[in-house]
Amino acid sequence: MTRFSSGKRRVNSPLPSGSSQWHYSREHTRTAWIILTPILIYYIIFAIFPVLANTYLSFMKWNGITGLPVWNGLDNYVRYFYPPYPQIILNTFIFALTTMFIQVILGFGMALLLNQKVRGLGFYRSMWYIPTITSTAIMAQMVSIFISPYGGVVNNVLSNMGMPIVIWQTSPFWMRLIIILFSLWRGVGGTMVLFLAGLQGIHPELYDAAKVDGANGWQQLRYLTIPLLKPTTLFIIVTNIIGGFQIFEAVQLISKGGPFNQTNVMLLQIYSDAFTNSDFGTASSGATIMALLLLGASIVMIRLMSQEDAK
Amino acid sequence: MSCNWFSKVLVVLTLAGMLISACAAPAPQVVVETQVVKETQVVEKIVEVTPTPGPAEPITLVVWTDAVSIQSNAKDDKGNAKFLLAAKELFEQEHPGVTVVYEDHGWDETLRQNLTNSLLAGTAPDVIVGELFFRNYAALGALLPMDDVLGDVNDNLISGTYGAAYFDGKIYGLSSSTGVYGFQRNCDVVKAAGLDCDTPPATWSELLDQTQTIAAAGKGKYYGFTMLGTPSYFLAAPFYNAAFYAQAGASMCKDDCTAPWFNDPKAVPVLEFLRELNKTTPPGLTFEPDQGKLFDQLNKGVTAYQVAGSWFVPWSPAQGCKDCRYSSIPLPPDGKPASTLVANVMYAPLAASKHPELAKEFVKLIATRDEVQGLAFSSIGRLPATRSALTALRPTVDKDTQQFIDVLLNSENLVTPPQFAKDPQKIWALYSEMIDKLYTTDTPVQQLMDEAQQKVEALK
Repeated sequence: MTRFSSGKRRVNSPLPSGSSQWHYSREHTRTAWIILTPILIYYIIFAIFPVLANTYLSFMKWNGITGLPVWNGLDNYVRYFYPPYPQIILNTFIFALTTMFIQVILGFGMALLLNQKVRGLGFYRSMWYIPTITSTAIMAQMVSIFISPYGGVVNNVLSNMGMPIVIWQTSPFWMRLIIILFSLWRGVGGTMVLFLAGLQGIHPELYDAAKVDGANGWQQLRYLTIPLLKPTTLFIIVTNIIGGFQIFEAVQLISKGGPFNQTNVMLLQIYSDAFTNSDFGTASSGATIMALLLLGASIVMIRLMSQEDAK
Repeated sequence: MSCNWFSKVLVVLTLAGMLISACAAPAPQVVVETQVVKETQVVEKIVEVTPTPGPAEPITLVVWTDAVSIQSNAKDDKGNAKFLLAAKELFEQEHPGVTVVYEDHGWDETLRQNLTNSLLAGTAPDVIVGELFFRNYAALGALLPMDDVLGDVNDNLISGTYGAAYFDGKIYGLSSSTGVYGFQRNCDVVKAAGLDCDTPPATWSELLDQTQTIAAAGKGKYYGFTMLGTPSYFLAAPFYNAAFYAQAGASMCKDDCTAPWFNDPKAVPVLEFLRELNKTTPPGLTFEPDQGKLFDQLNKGVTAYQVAGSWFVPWSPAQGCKDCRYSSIPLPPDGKPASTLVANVMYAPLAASKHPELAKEFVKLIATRDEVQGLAFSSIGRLPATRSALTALRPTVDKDTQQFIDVLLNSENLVTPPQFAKDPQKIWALYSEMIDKLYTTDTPVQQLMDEAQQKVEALK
């Protein structure tokens, strides 16, 4: 129901004609702008302007401490073709895509299991979701204690079993695996909750109809559940990719990018370039490159899912 | 007035309130202000200073300092005031109208980040604290040279202590308190291995022989040496190894120490020695990220020897070491005595300071005045950075601390890791990679060094 400032209108009354209609639209447009302007100003200041400023700085040479930015052309972007940046970009992709794939599969599987009517269902769901709401910093410190090469929990267990200890911090394989497992542990709960919401949005009558048609459990999953969950899945994939690319705390606190830069990721290097190397130009170009990579990855996933739909 | 109009106004006000709150200035930084203490130290040497005339308006001089100094205990038996408090009181007496405010903004990366943010936001302090980035900042023009105010105190400074702030022939910062590496031994472990603890190893070969003997005798219960590896901090390995490099006349840098040099031929015996020494350490300890836990293993009787800082003298007994003793770091063949300055807390006046001359005067005061320097050890457990204060302190401390003081007073070779102006984080990451491979592989040392140097030179 719409309201005029002059008074109430009856529900479902036809719109006024001619100049009254023009006044009606203009007033509503003005109202919309009044409501939207504060949030637009906020968005321009805290979202649009920083992106533009970052893009500007990405073409500049600036230490962020003294002096003004100086034009540097594409040099900051060209640096990303030289070590250690290619390795860092590769690491970021490895973490993002591996975590995304496993999280989607694991989250979907857990959602299917937790969509059953069993005793203690609320407890199980909570247990799976709790890691998502814990503090990354605190949990990362716990991981560091677990994997401490000297006297750490895991190495103590290995020693007591008569096995040699592992110096995790010097093994790129183990440090990558630990960070991926940590990210999965923290992220799968959120993915599960989203899939659960999607599953519960599917009308049970559809499954009843499928049973009547003779579909077994696997067929119901393949021809009913998965297609109906496609929008949810796409949303989860895209948000997981974005989240995966933005991995920072786990790497900063567990491995610090080592060993040998094999776990260094783009956000961590952007931070180091800005605040340790005092190179805001390169840091800004890194942020721009990361945004473009994220955009590209998201578009690719959306296209792939759309092609699946078309088939 | 209609409900329709009222609801519009309500919505607009709500959104405006959200915008204003989002744009609000951040919560003010926690400011630590010291309390005035009525009891003051009796000063033996009277310094006649004419207070400068007060400024037209009150001035606040913001000084960033370190958490250790802020949290130090207030009083010793003689009722001495806190180290920072003494500096504040003295400065305010001599500069009426000026109030010194101390703030703690973290250390290492946290400090660098906060400092960068404050410079960008225009809220930078007048004086900053730090240890190993002043040369970089001086090169960027962020600090003020202090040579114009140091003429009368130059001879009293321990030159190595301000070396980390020395750039292009000028001094940009001074040390307020310092420390130095020495050699520590846990005699309970040394004796358990059947060795004489009264005569510490004097050379690298003696040290290696003894640590191997101790590790063999320990059979897994105790080991020969504690080595600091790379995971704790990106400068951990350069810090720890710098003394050994300096003893052997090797270097990690070239071209007036502006460029990394990781394949100095003189460094080959250094790294070969460190590799062998690392084999006598407890498995995994070298890569322990927690430095406190790492160095504490000697106190717990797990290792016999380690390179230790001057503040270990009071710390180790408190951690359980019943018979810890100290000596100079063993020397290589034809080597020269050398040590690394650690916990060398420095202050520097920022070029962005609103009160540059006052900032310089404050740094000079906290770093050179005996009334303040004399409180460094009793207040915060660190050694003063001037000759006069060290000389005055020496008779009052135990013989172990006296050894560290002697190193500061007499050594001509006090070093700190190089500071590279460009991409220091990437450069030291490559050095750490070299050290990691040194301790975990059998790749020839020269090959490791050459690979590291190639990678450094490939950085664009």
